[in-house]
Amino acid sequence: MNGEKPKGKLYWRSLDELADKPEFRAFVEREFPAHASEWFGASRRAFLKVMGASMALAGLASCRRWPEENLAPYSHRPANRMEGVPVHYASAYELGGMGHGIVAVSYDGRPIKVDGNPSHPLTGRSADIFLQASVLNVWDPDRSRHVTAQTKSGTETQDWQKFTAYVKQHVKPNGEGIVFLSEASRSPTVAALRKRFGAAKWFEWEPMSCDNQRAGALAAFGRPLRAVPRLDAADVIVSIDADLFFAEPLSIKFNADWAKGRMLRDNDHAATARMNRLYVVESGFTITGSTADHRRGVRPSQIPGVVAALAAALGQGNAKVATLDPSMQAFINAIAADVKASAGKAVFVAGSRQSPDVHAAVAAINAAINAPVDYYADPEDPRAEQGWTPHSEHIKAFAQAAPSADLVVVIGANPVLTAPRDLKIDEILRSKSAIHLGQYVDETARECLWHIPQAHYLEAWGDVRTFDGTVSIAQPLIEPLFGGKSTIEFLSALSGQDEAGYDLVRATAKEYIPGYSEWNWKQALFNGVVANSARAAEKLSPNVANLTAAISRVATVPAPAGGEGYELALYTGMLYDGRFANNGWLMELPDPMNRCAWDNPLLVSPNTAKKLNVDSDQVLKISANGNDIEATVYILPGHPDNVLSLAVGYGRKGLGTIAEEVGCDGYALKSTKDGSYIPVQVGYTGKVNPLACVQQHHMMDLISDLGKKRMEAEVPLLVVEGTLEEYRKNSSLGTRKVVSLSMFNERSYEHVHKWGMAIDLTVCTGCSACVVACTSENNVPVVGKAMVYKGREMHWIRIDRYFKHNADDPQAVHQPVTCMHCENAPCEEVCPVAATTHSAEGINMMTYNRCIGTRYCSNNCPYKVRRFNFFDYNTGEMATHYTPNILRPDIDDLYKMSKNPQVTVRMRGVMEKCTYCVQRIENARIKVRAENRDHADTVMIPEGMVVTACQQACPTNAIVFGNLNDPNARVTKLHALNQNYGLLDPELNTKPRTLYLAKVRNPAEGLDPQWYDDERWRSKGFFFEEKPGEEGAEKPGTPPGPDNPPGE
Amino acid sequence: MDFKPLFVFPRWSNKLTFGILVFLSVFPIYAATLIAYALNPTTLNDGYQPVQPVPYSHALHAGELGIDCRYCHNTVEKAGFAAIPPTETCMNCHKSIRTDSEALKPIRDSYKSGLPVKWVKIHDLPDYVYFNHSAHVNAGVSCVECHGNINHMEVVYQAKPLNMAWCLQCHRDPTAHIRPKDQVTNLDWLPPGVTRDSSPSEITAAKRALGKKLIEQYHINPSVDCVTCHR
Repeated sequence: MNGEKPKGKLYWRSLDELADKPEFRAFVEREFPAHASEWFGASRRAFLKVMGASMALAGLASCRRWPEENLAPYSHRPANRMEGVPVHYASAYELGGMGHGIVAVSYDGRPIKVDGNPSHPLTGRSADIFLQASVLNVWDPDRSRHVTAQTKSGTETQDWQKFTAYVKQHVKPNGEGIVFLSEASRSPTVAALRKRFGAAKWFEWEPMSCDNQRAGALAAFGRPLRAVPRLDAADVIVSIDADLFFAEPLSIKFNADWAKGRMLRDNDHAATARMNRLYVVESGFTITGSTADHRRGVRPSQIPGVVAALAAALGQGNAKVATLDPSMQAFINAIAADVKASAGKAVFVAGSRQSPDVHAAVAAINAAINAPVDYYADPEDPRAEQGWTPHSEHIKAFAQAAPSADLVVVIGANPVLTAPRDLKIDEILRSKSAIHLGQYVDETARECLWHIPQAHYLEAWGDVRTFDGTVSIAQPLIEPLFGGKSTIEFLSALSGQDEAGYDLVRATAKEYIPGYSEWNWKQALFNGVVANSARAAEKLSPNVANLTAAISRVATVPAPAGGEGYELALYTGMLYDGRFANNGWLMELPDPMNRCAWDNPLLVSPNTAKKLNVDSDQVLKISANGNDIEATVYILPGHPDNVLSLAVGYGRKGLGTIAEEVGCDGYALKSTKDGSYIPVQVGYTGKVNPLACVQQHHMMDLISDLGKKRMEAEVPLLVVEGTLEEYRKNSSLGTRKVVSLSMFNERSYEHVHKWGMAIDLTVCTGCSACVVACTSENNVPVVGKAMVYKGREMHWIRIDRYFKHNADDPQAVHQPVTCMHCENAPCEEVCPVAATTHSAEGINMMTYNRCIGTRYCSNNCPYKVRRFNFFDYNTGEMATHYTPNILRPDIDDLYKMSKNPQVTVRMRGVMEKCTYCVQRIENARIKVRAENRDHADTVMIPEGMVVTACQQACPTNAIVFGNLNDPNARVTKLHALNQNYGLLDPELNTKPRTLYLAKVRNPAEGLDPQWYDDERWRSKGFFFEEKPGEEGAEKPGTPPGPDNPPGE
Repeated sequence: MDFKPLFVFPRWSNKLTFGILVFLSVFPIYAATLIAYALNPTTLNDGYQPVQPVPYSHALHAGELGIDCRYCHNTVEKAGFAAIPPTETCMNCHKSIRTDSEALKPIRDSYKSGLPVKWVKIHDLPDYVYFNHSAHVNAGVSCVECHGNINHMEVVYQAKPLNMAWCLQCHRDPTAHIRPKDQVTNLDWLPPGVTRDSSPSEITAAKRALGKKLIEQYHINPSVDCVTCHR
């Protein structure tokens, strides 16, 4: 305990709560945040007046049959096509040079949802937020629509023919004089087309590149190999500033593999249960850090020193290591002991933004401890293995080569925004004849002579490779909506051929499909994966001297020139590198750690904030390398001191309606000499920018006087945590198993189906894939920053984040919360119009057409999972929220087409909430019943046929849904586990159908006692043993004091 | 006292009083009836018979010629949506029959151009209602139960109210609406023991008698949960 006595709350959501400020109390006691029921500042009375008037209009408008609708059948219907039945296509998606196998859902020709492809060996069935949200970009009205050219009179709209004519005139057959700058792509067809431009120079650029890992491999092994760590084979995982579960290219796989080693789903063998252990040292506070068993936050400049110390503790290298503070030394010793104890089953992973030196040292350590890491060659890389340089060097080479080129061609990349500003890419492009291929008229497009709209990946043929070499073929689901061209079609046109994408892909497929035939091609297309296309992992024969040198080098990384100044670390946030800036789903997705939407706050620690004398929402001026930006402070407990973290891709101008001037542009500060961080100066602006932070919206405590008393100090009723050791001793982990007797005859749900869900907090990483999946499946609208600020965000599933322990060194827990489908649902009792009722299978149904918008249900919902449509959010225009619908222009067809027709699009004035994806249940039921007419009323929908959207996306299998009446269903088995608990259940007797599995961590012996040996936590005797009637007994949250000594 | 009221109704207003009273007592009833009538789904939908781009006669094709419903609406047993046939289906016959009919010109145009014929939707449920054809057809609910005797309609109109109360009637007691599955598209089907000349009550009784057996045989147990139709 370091002699420090813990005080106050154990679990808390914000610093206001921890300090128990009166503002916070007032906030909690309101049903909705203070602004939620207000209408552009007008009083309730004014609101009623306006509403009365619009009611009168609405009454008139309803006196007619609804508008005539047309049925437009096919003229020639494709074989086996059924209108109204969604078709699933296996396809492929590439992000930052990493391919993903996907399954895209097309509804009457419209792609509306994307999921992972279960047959894909590397990425699997789940999807991350970027993959899920990428489908919305198809329907983005702000995508570039025309070929444009800069002329003397400004930007002019041109057509594709004029462009090809220009190409014929200016491009030499072998590409002589052309300098290409492309986003990373490992498409075999792009690689084949590159050969046509033999005399051209080809450069590659990714701002959030994972190339430093390869640079590290080059230093350690002599070849720039790609590392694929196998976390499922590791007992000890050490992350060196790697946001394993969110920002790494292999995040989906990391999530899944890590979770495989943490499944505690067998109580019978609890005593021998095993778990991997995750150590994280990081320069921010990411979900990987919150999920870790042990975590240390350090400055980015200290990371090389930590790695050197780790190597020394493991007996590797021969460098002298600087002394570290005792807490860090204990951490390193624990890792070293653990790694030594689990030979061949420990792995180190360094983050993408770390320097090549750190990566080299990590690669050397991994080689020395025989870690489960596979290395793969990357032959499709335009950079040959000889003389290979990472992206950060390649962009410099581009800046040198471009001025002497005849023609500069930029493919997909946005270097004007993302490249270090001292390279002055914008000036280079302006001064040359430049062609830009991109989905948006972005910063780079505006500097180029020509701009060609790029086809979305769901609009074009293509192919991708994953890191292990597995090829997937991308097939289009729709014609390019705005006449875009895919990269391969563009390159073909540039070479003067203008072939169709399909022909180009088929031509290269002959090479990568083994035993190519029409049948094989179709099979590869159908499966979404080319069978046996994965490469064999490279056999390494590392040179020991090289390894030692790599480790020694990291110990000698010089300290930052600025001394004890502030270090700005740019990180991959919700917009990836900025390419999703105009994606409403991602923009509105709250960051899982800071829980802010529609902004990229400057994250600082409480200590740093104190030092700077700023509070959250205040705007600071951050300057470096001659540029400055204005960033809004957000105080994130647990963030390392003197470090400022900023997500990239924000602060855009003229890109689209969503992205317009949201947040600030962190790229502006970066220069070529900066590595993993930027030394910055901090100034004041005196401005305030209220952040739309959702962390205190929809809070579940203080719901009643009873709740008040019990929960005043304790969120553990909401989050139950334990350690592996405790789990082995007692697998119930203190969850309460109370049978509440009822005065009423309660309904039984024994007939065929009884739907339920289990959420395993042990493996939930907070990656937010479920939130985007739900948004996509259930037509959840995007409401805009002003609305989110007022607490009107519409997400059906939210991921609550609780901090534990004190503000300087907290641990954090993520908890997805959605409708619990209570058997005794409080919302149903209060609905005056029976719009929310219970189905025979135990689903808490919400009938929109009955709802009159009293919001009583939401008031009475203890979990605060109901969402109210304060406005017609589904008109697609945030600017017209306040316009009465009779005056509003027609809804854009593009916007309508992005919706899932299986789910009602809700209008103003109705309540909505999670339905357990009832549309999927009903469709499955209809199918199963038709097939089993002879026992249709008793036929059970087989396990796996109904998968909720959140479950489907979840990479760690934390969410499991199914039929509780099926004894073999996974959810039934999970509900039978001892560590199960219902949220607020025994208190309120709501009998939730969604149960949680307590969070179990696996701490190392004796390390971080402040987290694991906290008396307040240990002494939750209240939870471990039922002590009925003993009100005076040791209460949870009673701080140890003179009369309550710890440990008694 | 010299009391002078500020305002007095003029004498002639007495004549109006009776009229005003009558108006005030009658008008609300009139207005309520009018609104109720105007908003009643029956008024809005029943008998709705728009003009179609092609004067296609179900009476001729389905009735006289006896083409099965599923020849054109072929997805009805598998999908929620009973497909409107593609132009190709029409042209299967009309390539050789009435090849120069003026009425069929939109069909020929569509076949050539690949653009759809825009039929006007008659049976149009609100967008928050998810009706599934396959669920009903596979359970022995005939087309006629919701669409009426299409095989006798020269121009199709909406024969049934298709409102929620009407749906629920059948979901609560489907006995009179279930027939053998192989008779689903036989719109003139009658249960055994009755003829066209039997009285309606006799026909209903016979349908109920058979329906009761079929419900057991097909294991029909219609749901009245909201989510069955509203998602």
